Amino acid sequence: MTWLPLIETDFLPDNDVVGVDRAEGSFAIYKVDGTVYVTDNLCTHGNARLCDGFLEGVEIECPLHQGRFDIRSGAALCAPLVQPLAHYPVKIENNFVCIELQAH
Amino acid sequence: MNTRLSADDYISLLLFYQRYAETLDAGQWERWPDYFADECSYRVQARENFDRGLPLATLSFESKGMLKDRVYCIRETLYYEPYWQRHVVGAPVVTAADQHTVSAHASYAVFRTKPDDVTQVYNVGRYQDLLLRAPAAEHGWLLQSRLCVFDSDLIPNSMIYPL
Repeated sequence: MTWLPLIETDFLPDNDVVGVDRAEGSFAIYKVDGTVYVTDNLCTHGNARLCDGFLEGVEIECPLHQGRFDIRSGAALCAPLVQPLAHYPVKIENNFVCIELQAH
Repeated sequence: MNTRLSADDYISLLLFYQRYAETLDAGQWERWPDYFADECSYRVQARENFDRGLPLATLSFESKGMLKDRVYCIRETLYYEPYWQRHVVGAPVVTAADQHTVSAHASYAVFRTKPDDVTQVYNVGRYQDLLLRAPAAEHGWLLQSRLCVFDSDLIPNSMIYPL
């Protein structure tokens, strides 16, 4: 089990999303009412970054075709999305948002 | 799997590719679906999405009926500035062949000319095709699927006509 530190919590805006690029991937980090969620940043429909999209509650809307994902489960909520989004276990350690990467 | 075609078969395949291009360049849209099997797929997809395995496609048709519907749109319902297309299609490379089907790909460049304007490079990419041998069909082959993967992420203005 590997915990990957992504970003200091101080840099997370409330009820908004930021993107972080790492060698391990591109991640979208959300903070909703004090809770942090992390998903893949790339939409499962087309080449668009979800961190450029619109966060409404716990739903992230892709800026390209307005597909929406539930950031808690990665579930695809509407057309044109078919594939769910990868999401990651999160813990806050030393003020850093860390995610657990699954061994592939 | 065997990837060799007889010389006659390859020449007829080559002619199929050239006639397809000629039909489109002549604007004979009603004849475009004739190059496809009844159960077919025609998709135009940017390379950025194809390479990532993402489904987003600029055009995505899943039957000959949808191709006919597109032709009706071109003729009757879409509002656009007409343009001419000119295809330059490379020789197809056969990657697999058996008694009934052939897999092949070919590079293409499509130029666009609007009335009173200079010619522009419109779309450049690669056809990735699955073809059925169809001796009874007009062109000897039918496309079961044609995927046009274009290299640029951008399409100038819009895409009205098939590639």
